[in-house]
Amino acid sequence: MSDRDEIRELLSAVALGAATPSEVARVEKLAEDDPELAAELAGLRAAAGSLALDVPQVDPPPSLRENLMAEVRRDADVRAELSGATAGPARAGGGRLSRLRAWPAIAAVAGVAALGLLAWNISLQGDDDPGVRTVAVAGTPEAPGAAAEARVLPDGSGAILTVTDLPEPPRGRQYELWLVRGTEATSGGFLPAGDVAFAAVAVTDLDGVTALAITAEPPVNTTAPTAPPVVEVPL
Amino acid sequence: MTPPDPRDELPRLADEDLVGLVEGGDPDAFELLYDRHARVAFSLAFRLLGDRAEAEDLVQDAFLSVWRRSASYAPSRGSVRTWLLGIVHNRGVDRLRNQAAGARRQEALEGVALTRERSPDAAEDAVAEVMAGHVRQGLDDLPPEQGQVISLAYFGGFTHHEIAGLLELPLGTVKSRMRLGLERLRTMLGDPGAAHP
Repeated sequence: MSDRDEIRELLSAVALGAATPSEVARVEKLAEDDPELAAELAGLRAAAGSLALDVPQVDPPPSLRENLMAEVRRDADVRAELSGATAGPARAGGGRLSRLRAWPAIAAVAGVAALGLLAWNISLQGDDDPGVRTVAVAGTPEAPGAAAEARVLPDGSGAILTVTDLPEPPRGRQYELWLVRGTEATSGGFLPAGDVAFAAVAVTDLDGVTALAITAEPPVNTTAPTAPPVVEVPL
Repeated sequence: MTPPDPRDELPRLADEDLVGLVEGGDPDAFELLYDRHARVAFSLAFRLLGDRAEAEDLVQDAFLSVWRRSASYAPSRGSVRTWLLGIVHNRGVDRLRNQAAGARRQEALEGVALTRERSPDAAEDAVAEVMAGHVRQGLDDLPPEQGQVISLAYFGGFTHHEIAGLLELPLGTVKSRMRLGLERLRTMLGDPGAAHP
């Protein structure tokens, strides 16, 4: 069987979710440079997706919509605050002050009682202010798809760390922020469980901090990281 | 004269346009996408996991991924619905694969029959019912051995290697049945991933 025949044989398994991750990666990489193969894969994925239409249809509970939209609107507020611009259409009463009220829900980590104020200060500085230092990094080899960005106030009094696209932590573990001072690390608290696609945390004490790091830890008090970092941002 | 509110235009937009707005951080566009696809997404999640609470968690996870990673949508790879259901399916299968292998196997084998059940609520949505009818007919027209491997893969979350072991068949046979079955289904359904509306 030729390579191409072998790939064609794999397409249906990929479309049905029945291929191994390495097989999926191989097919998708080839499809990037082969429009015919890409179209074939898209058609098979559509056929596989149609199987979902044949399952007994069940209405989701209204609470799912409410919870989801609450989180989405909170996210939109955070994005708007971080970008210093309004994200999307303004909602009734959705001015800057009301957006800031959404922050405490995100700020349940890292001793971040002053997160709203910190966000306010950083947004006042603006992206163009040379005083606000931005450090952006990709995830470590433990999390190659992740990215992180720290925006640090010029006086070093605080920073906002945003992290995107972390992988799901291993079962029984949760992501924890560490404030690294040389060879020492102190905990900055846990990121909210399940918030791996996007998280924003604030650090209000950067005295002596040389880096911010995130590791997957058991959800108990630990005095030092026990796992390799998934993100490490030098300051 | 009061200018028209751009919000009023949202329901007229195609899914692909809504995704573009979601990428720009528009929660109203996202809400509309949810309303259009939540039912089929939840139904798929419930069918995969068999538990309402688990299904809710999966759908919330999938839609949040849509919200936060909408830039990853590529029209060339299919419709928004195909993309969205793909996210639900992939994440659902990941969860299935974390379950005990024995329990998964039993549920998947039982699930092969369940895929042919009629929904008492499906008539509420005439368009969905027509599509479901096409899919059901397509599945019914497949040779049973092809329908079996497709159901084990899609609803059971098994890899083709696992299906070969489960059915005690050569891997090549399983791959061939998948390919023949899915290509046949695709031909029978035309373009099932056509964009909404």
